[in-house]
Amino acid sequence: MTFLNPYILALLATVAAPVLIHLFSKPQLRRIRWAATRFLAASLEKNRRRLRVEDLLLLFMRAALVVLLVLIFARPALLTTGDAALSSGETAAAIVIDNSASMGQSDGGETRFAEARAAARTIIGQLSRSSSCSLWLAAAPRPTPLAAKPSQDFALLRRLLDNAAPGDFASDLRPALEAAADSLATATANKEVFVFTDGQSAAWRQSGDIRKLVEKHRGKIRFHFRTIGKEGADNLAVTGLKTSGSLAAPGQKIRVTAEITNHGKTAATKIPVKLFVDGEPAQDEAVCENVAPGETKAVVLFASIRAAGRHTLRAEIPPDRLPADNSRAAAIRVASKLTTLVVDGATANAANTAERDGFFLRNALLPVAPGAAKNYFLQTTAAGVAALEDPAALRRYHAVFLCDVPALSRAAAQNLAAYVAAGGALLVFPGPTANLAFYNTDPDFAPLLPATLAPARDAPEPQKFLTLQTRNYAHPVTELWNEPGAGNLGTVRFSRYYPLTLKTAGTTGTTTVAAATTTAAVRHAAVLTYANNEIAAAATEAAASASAASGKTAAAVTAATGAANAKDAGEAAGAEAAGTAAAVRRGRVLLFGAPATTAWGNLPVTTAFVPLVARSLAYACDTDDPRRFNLAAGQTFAAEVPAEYAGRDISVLRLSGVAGDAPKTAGRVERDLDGLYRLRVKDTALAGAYAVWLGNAKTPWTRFAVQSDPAESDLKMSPPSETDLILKAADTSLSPDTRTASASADAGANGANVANTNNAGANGADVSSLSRASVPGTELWFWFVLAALLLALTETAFAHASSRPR
Amino acid sequence: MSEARQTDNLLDPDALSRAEHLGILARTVVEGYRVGNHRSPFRGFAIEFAQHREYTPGDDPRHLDWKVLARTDHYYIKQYEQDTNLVVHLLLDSSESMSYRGTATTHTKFHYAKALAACLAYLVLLQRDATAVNIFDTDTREHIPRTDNLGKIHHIMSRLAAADANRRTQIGSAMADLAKTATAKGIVMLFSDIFDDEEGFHQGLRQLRFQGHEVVVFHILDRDEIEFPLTGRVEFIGMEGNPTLTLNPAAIRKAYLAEMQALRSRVKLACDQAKFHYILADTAVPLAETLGAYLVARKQRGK
Repeated sequence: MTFLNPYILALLATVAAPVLIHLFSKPQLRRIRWAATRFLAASLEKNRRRLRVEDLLLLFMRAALVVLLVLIFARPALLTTGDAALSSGETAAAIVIDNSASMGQSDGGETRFAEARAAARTIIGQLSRSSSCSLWLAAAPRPTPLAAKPSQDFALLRRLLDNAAPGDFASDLRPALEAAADSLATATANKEVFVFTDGQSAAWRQSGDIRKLVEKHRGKIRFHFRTIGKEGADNLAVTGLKTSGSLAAPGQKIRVTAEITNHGKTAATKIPVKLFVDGEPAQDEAVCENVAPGETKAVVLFASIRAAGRHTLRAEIPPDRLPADNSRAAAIRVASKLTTLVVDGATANAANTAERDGFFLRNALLPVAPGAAKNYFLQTTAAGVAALEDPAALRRYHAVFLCDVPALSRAAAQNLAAYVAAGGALLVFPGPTANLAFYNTDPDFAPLLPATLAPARDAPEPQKFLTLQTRNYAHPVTELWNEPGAGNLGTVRFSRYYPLTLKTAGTTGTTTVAAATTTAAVRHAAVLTYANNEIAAAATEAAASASAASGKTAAAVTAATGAANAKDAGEAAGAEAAGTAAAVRRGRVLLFGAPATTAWGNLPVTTAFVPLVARSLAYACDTDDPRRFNLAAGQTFAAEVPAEYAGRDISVLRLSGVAGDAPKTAGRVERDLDGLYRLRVKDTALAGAYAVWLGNAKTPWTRFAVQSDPAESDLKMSPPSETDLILKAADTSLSPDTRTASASADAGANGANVANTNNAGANGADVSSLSRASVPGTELWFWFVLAALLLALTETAFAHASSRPR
Repeated sequence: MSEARQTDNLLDPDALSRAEHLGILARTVVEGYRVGNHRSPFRGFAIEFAQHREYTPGDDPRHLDWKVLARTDHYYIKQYEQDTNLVVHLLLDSSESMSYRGTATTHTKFHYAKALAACLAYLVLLQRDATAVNIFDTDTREHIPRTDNLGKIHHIMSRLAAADANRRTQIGSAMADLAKTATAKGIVMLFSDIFDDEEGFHQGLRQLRFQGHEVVVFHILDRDEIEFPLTGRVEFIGMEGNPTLTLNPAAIRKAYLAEMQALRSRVKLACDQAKFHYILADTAVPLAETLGAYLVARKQRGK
């Protein structure tokens, strides 16, 4: 029990009042000459003990009555566990719970999210009847309002809290804080915002904006940041999952790379990694031998998919305390058949096909025995530039290779531009006959190319040849050679080449692109650069645009993906590109600096040529933005469907591998404003592989994957400087005690911690570990008044019964 | 004091008018020569000389022994056996405790007792019986010899009025004295609160009974002493040398009443055992009522 007006307790000294009154008062004493004093003395003697007991009882009751009166004015209240920073009296509170994936970690019991929920319930329980509260879940891409406006229906708020489901979202506190602060705009009571977060570094990425927000509301709203739990334990995570850039075809082995990151402080050894396809039993399993702290290791697994279409892959490691990142899913497209057109330039009419410029390419595209070529999923057609004149014929091909084409007719150039814009893949190998004026200036063709070609140049002395880069392959096309067992491109030599000058995004209607094949957060690198002269030319692009049509520049994307990538791009700056890539509307264009023949180099006759061509083709054909099928948690999945499916029910199942899971209805196919019909799945809170059915179909219409932010796997707490800056914004400082308590999250130091937090909180903001302090709960004054009344009645009755003056 | 000296107050006209026709009847058969109220146990007529006694002022000069005066020049009174058939001895306690006056009354217990005694003396004389008065505290302070002369009533009253109640008491010795001097059977009427010397009272009762007296005990108590209605904090100043007590009377009221009831029960029991009258004289009750009640009861028992 505690008291809301403890200073009133000083009046407890008045408990001596009855005694003092008795001692110092001069009661009206009647004097009577009495004859029968003999009997009085006898009566007194007989009742002396009883009288003393009665006197003591009366004294006790009267003193107790005084004590009760003092206690009533001191406002007694039951102690309950709660947050000491909450103001007493009428309060307009907003509670923000971090709903990022890292809140799913536990210390063996409750998850951080469950603890935050319990703490929020405590806050609600502490609110007075006239108070109100709004509830927000903070996560990317947008905060989720559980109760957008402050409500006084605490039962409803509790129910909303109980029903709040955790998700595998990325951290983003600022928008939720802003929304929470806005929700209190019209409130007149004490405004308090409580933020419950695990204090993970990722949550404070926008500490600058948070600081500004706190600063903006200084003096109006008090912000209380409560970190839950200790700094994260060892955490192993699958932070990446992607196919290795090769073409995925039915029955073909798909090379899948799973990245295992050790965020702990000790090395992890012998980590079994399993690969699942579409929720079926594991297809492959590998062991990651040793991952040092802070290191990321790639594990190669293989999968085989029987049918064409969208499929999901899921890599899984043994469970730990953060389940969200113990598996990672990715959606891939398996093409049923791929047709390519290899356009020979000047040598198109050569009788000997071996003399044609596309000879090596055609063979590289069909790396099977001649008898098996018909059944191979990749079909190649050789033709001259005239084949580009027919736009209808052109649309039948998935990809077009231009091999030493000097120039194109205007119609062909326009057809090709339209073909690329419609989603076609174009791979250009300029040869000795190339008309550079056409390549660089043709109004239809030049905008397709990601670079301009300088006049051909011989390799510099003294080697007289150029080699390709031997390491640090950043582009999806070439990253295969980062693996030690895959060899490298160092054996490729060029004696002559076209220097490529990269265009800046948007200048010619092209956008340099290096989109990942599987995830939105892969490392970006040049397709290919020369190794000589310390070139590393063309950090061609490092870009992965959110969508090709969005026009985001490589630089913008690079900046957004963090310092590591920016550093790589910086290292690559100045390197000379041997090949570049760009997205043009819905299609992709790859431009190389040399022909695919042996005229200027040995590339076509090296072992790397076949995989390089295959991977280039796979990359160029993957125009269907994989990010549409590989979403961040919380993003809405949308896919076009034919009009015949209009109104069909959409059923979704998260392929968790748990038997008995049934698909859930997720709405119906609806027509959008653009006239297209789309299915939408909004409930993508949990990471994993999803399958979508339309109507009563037995096979899924499509599949997609939801991925958590790899940054969520790093459970390190934010550095003190971040929280200090926020406190400075609130014109206050964090006392050393609080800082220590915050860092150690020692439950035993809660008392001091809370006290310090209170002091800090009075000035605008405070940051501390979540504490279960004892705070005043239900007020007891009613019961004390009742007790006082009963005692007064008892005292009166007793005094009357024992014939005592009052 | 002034109250005590107002002789006119002692005879309550209302009491007398109501009591006059009742008379005082001797419960037992007494010796006497008069015919009327009292039947004599003796045959014939006899008034015998008993002794001489020195004359004191107030004695009837008719009883002077002139012969002795002539011979010795000393004044002696001739005393005879049995001047009358009924002698009522009025024994009045004049101790300090009798001076208490409660809140419900306008007079002290002593005044009430004097008035009661005066009325009874008047009644006795009125019916031609004799009466004698003894006022005592630790000793007999005032003695009014027996007389059957109604004209002496004023003398009795003035002596009663002059009496004060301001000393301790020894009721036992007063009763013993009376038993020694009043050899003839008579009625002894005791007016006292009997707060002190309870043992002496019982002893006196036994002696008087042995002498053949009929004893009537008027237990004079104030209403406050009977009901003890006092409240608040009170300092009780003890009388007759008793200590002073400061206490809350309401707190011990029950115990006090028990003590008081026990006293009354003991006194009444002693009277009942000796077949004596016990009359509780509550000073808040009008004198006529107390006297009438006693006389009615006495008359009924006398039949």
